[in-house]
Amino acid sequence: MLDLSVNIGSVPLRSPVIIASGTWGYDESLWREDLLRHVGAVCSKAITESPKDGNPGHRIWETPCGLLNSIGLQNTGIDDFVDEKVPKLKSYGVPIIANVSMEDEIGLVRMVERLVEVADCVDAIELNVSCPNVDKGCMSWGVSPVLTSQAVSMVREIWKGPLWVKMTPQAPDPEGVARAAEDSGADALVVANTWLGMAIDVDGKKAVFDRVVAGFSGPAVFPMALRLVWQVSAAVSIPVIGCGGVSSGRDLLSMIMAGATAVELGTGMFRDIRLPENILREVKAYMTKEKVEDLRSLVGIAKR
Amino acid sequence: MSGNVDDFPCKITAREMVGEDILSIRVRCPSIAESIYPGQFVLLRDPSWGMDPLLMRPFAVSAVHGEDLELLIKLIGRGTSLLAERSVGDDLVVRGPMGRGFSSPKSSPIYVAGALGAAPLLFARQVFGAGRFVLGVPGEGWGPFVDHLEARCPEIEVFSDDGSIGVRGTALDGLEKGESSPIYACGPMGMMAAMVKLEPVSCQVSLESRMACGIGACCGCVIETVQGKRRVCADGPVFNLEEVVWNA
Ligand SMILES: Cc1cc2nc3c(=O)[nH]c(=O)nc-3n(C[C@H](O)[C@H](O)[C@H](O)COP(=O)(O)OP(=O)(O)OC[C@H]3O[C@@H](n4cnc5c(N)ncnc54)[C@H](O)[C@@H]3O)c2cc1C
Ligand SMILES: Cc1cc2nc3c(=O)[nH]c(=O)nc-3n(C[C@H](O)[C@H](O)[C@H](O)COP(=O)(O)O)c2cc1C
Ligand code: FES
Repeated sequence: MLDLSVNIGSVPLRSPVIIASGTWGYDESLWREDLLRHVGAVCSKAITESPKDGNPGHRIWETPCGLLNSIGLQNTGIDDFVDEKVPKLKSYGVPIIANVSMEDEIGLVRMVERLVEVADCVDAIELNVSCPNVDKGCMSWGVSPVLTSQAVSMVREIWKGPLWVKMTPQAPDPEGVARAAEDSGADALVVANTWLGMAIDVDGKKAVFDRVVAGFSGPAVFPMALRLVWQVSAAVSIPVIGCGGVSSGRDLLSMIMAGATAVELGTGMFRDIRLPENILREVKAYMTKEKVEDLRSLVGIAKR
Repeated sequence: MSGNVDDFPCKITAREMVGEDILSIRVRCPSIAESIYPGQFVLLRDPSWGMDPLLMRPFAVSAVHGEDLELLIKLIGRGTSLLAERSVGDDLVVRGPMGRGFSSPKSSPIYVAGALGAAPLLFARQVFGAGRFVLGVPGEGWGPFVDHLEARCPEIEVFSDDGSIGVRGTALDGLEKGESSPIYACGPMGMMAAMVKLEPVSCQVSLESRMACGIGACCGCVIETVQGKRRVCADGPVFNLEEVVWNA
């Protein structure tokens, strides 16, 4: 019997495949049992204190094997999430990770206080100090170990449940940020969010995105995300969740062997809605061939 | 609801170039063929693409023939050019039907198409019945496309910007101000924005937007409406003319 279940701190997941924030919607048609059977957990879209309209102009630009996005945290706000979304999401039976986007201290505190009200329905908070697509807050917290520590401590004081921190690859000292998060009470690290990129509309002779820069994701970023997982997992003792370009079973295995305990899938889901199932099939075939019974035995194996 | 999110492996059953850069293609996809409604669309990917192109491409369905979907595709970039290289018998992956289509007309409709915007309207005509069908094209080079449409829709009224095909002018020149018949329109944003000035009593427009997921998940395809930002893929692609904020 192959065992693909994993624990992220105190959170048990039936599968090491998690759907990344911002890449799965709330429409009922997506929450089908057959689509989510192979998924360990679903991260909510980024939640902000007040509802946000997101960015104007182009929001999507494809590149070879990659995707630039400038969504800008469009969401209906914490009150709608807690009052309307959570009860519905809970009924689907998949662990829900609340991706909380940090803009400022007051907003963060209010969001976490509201989540405490539904703590038994939210399996973990994923503190998002890493979105590059907004002017206010967010990534500016995640690039600094001091500010990351401050943000994590604030949440930790109010939220006693599982707390993940979603890091930004733009941090000049990722190990420093990771250690700061761990020391301040994070239970796991998600490594990482999108990479800063941009595109020029050559025919229009201008930048494609109104904000010029955008978040880069997809298979093109996988080797860089893998490197970050390798680096960060060596610097901390809490679990690391690999995120960035994972699109196949071999990508998942690489992340695990580099030190991740689980992975998050984002852009890959747009291309193949059954990616979790397809990845797990490939992983199981590998485990059978290599006579590995427990996926956990492969965590960090490439480092030994 | 964001449509049916299932992917189906399908085969190309017919292909023809109808002009230098317009492909007419049929794909055998029984389950979508029996459930798709006018104005809905499909997402399409070629398994040979691997990771590049990365995303599925959205296309309207221009007709259903038994188990086959017919699409009209303008070759504008990498994905569509690669599609044009495929042959009868080749495999594609098709997801759908996606989005919300046109609501059915209470009286004889007018179809107003700008260039490739004719695609969803041809399917609407197939299901809802013939009515006036007004088409605007740029002109030179669009002859084979117009011939292709005329063969399916003999009543078509054609306008061209340069006057080389049909009457010189735009599709909107074929309409009266305050038109009372229900209008179904699809074409460039500028054309649809200009329809507002004609103040039709009832008009549904089918819009396009760059899509990443096509299933309502990413919020990449939003447009501005009087109710705020809405997703073209899941809340549309069909909207009422008056709910769209055209100068956004
Ligand atoms: C609901 C809907 C229905 C459509 N129906 C038709 C149709 O019937 N016939 C037809 O010829 N075209 C149609 N389009 C436009 C078609 O999807 C694009 O022309 C096509 O995706 C371009 O792909 P490409 O790889 O050749 O271009 P590239 O420029 O290489 O594409 C790069 C990226 O941009 C996206 N993209 C580029 N232009 C558009 C666009 N106008 N709309 C949406 N995405 C775009 C692509 O999907 C891709 O992700 C429709 C679009 C939508 C949203
Ligand atoms: C369209 C889109 C929207 C996203 N929205 C969010 C978000 O709301 N919150 C967040 O933390 N990350 C967001 N991300 C980042 C992803 O969760 C993920 O970290 C990133 O895309 C890298 O993984 P991938 O290469 O597998 O996509 C978004 C990514 C995309 C492509
Ligand atoms: S393309 Fe993702 S929401 Fe419409």
